[in-house]
Amino acid sequence: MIRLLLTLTALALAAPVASAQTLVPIQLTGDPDTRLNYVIMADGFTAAEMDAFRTSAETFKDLLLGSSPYVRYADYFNVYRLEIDSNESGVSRPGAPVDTALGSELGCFNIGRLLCADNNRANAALAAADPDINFHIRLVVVNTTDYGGGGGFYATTTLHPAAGSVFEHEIGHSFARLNDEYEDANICAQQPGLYGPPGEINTSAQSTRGASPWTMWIDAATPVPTTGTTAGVPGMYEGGHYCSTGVWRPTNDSLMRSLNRPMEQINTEQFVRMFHRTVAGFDIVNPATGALALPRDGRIRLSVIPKTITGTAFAITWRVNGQVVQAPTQADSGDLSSPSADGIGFMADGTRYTFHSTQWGVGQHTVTASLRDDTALVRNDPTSDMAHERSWTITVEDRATPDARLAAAVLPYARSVSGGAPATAFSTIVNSGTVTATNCTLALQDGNGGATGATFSYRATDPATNTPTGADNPAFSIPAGGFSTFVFSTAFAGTVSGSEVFVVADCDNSDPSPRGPGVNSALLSNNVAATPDIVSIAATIGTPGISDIPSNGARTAVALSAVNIGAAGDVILRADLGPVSLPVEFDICETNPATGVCVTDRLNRLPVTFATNEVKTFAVRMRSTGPIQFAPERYRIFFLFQDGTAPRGGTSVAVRTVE
Amino acid sequence: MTNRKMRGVVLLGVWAGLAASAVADPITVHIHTDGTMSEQALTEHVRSALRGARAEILDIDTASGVIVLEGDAAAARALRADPDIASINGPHSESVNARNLRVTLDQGLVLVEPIASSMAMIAPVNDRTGWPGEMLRVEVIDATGSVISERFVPDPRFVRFEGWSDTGVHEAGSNRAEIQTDMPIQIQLAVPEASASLAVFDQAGSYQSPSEGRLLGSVQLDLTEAGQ
Repeated sequence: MIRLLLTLTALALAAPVASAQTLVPIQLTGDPDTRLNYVIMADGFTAAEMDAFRTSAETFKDLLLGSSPYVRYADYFNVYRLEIDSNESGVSRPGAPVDTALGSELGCFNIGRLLCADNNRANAALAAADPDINFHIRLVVVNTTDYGGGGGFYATTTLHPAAGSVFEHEIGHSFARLNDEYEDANICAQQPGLYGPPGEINTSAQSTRGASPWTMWIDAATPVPTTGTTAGVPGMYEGGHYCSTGVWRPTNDSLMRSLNRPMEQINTEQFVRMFHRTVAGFDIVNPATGALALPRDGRIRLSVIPKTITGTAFAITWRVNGQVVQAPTQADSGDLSSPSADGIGFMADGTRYTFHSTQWGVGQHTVTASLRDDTALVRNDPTSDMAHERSWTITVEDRATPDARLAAAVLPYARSVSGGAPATAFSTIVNSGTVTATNCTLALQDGNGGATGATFSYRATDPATNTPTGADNPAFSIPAGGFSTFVFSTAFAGTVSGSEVFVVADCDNSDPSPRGPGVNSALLSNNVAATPDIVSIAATIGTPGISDIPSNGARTAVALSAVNIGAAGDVILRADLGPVSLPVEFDICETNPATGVCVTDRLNRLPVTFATNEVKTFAVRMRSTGPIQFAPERYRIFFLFQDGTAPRGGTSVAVRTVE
Repeated sequence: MTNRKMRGVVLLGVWAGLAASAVADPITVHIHTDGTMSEQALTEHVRSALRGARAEILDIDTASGVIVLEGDAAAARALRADPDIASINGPHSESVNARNLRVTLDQGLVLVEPIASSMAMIAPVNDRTGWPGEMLRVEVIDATGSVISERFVPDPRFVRFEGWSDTGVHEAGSNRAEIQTDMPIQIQLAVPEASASLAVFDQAGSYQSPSEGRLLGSVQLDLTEAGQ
């Protein structure tokens, strides 16, 4: 494992001026690790003017995601607005500085309409907002109605009504790597050195139909060279990449040639391919690790959750050693209205495959789950960006299944400490096997089964009182059908925010207990300053830990209780529907603990102020908008207390729909 | 949807050229058909499944349903995603981007640290397009000193300007490309597992430095735990 590769010396990077800022998700479709993340940043807005920025951020969100091809892939995008208070309102101009958070200047580099943010400050603001999110599209909105803007690592724009099309053109450069399709004799005279050769995506030095990079788009009836002016007719139009001759473009007048135009087919195709190249086609892969071992009579269920597009999920083809073992069927349309659909945008059966060792025999086997986006927006995909696959290598060992079988659970789901202080939580290990599990130990793992970087120790507890008993880190046994309970302690030396760790049990005569987010995991944070640290539990109606939601659209409820054992502070309580965005509508209110009656409005994101050691109770109302099968390791709702995006507490329940 | 009449056996030999290296390993693909499909139908089916992925069909035996072709790892992935191709035996895409790194250059000093794969920028390989100064070029060097790959990643200092008329027509002579020079450079990228050192260049491919660009910094990557 590589931890730190090289440090020549400690680097003292410039420390930009800190401003009050809040990262607000305005469209969340999934884990940012699996999404295209678009951030809209405020500059020149004072705290009192932030409502104007919020309105503008909605406009710029809709501008991008409301148009083709983004609208089809809206489920691929998370959108955030970064509210940063500036000390002064407006924008700097040469000789007339204004004290704004990102130091934007209109007229930078002595170009009247060029608007530059201070990229160093912008980098620092994003890192402070959330260092673990890769913001793929970055837009700075500056508080002036004057016309101006710029591109590059950060796109900049003003509140001027003509700014939108410039931004879309810029994203064609910075995200999709598209060339300009207009002509400029000054630049052409310095070609090919100045801006490089045509990129052979939307401009080409090739002139013939057969050699064209977009030949698959040119209709046989379209003449080459193409001279028509009809919009949206792919061909070989001479002129582009600054030169009027010797360079060819795919359509007469796309957005990469003139503003206020559509992208047209070939540029749209490139965007779609970049969407797929940037994010994986699968949101969840379970098990996450690619190397697995099974006994000769064992079996393992493999599952993937594919991305969805406009409510329809990708179909999955499963192979073992290259042979199709489970192909999509006609019923696997992913149509949410289908009675057999599981309501999450795909057919549950198609997303799972159970590998039986007895069917394949001792040895090494490869299982592959594949999907492909067959959209008509893409005809030419030379690097197969539209095809995604995940593989597992399963070694079937010549041994029998252990007779002890383990499962682990952890509570609470999140802890937030400071200064490297230990965070403690409880774990229960169940042996559902037919013999006593012997010589067992606990370990802390990351999501891939690797080390976490945290220290870890544990002690047994009395399950009736939660009182620790015995020595640290004991080896222990669990009788058949029995369980053991533990308290464990972890500590990170460095700062971490919401690191998910798993408590895994292993015994001499068992396989390790499986990892399940929200089941035997915890989100751990170690902060520089003291924060709220909220320990919470959820109570469901009926089966503990499982929320049964009526399939007829009626509501059910979950009760939450929380105590803040950390510093006082403000948090947001929200329900996270998981990476698959479960078909559930919900609202949350704080309740009177004696009566259970709401004492606040019912909201999706409930602001909560906690004093130290304060106990609060909440009620969550939920109803389903589609069926949910029972898969507690996958279909869970997480109730998170968050400071920005940092978890300060949380718990979860499994959900399913019932008749 | 692709043709579902295939029932016989098609054998495709695909020699996979790995994306970032010249290594080519043969792979074998089987497709089950009923042996009644014409050569043209089989060709069309494979071409449809490939969707532009580079592969050359070398042989088709319609009687046995055997097709032999030569292609790269992307072609193999595209074929695996087609449920009508009942069997494909061969290597999967080799992970050539096994190490995800954040590289910070500041006043001659270089810091390299590992990052999650989701944090790596999408780095075009061997792509010299872009505006002057838009991209940084990173040479990826293995333990023998050979450049095994190069990556182009956006320069976080880069600023672009294009002038447009009120009617949305580009204004000739308006383009400007600028660099904010007074800031550290931080890039995040994926490099092959065999990487031993990196060298970062700016202005690659532009008229200011039309060949390889200007060296901003280089750094050795320690592949082992020891000596860090």
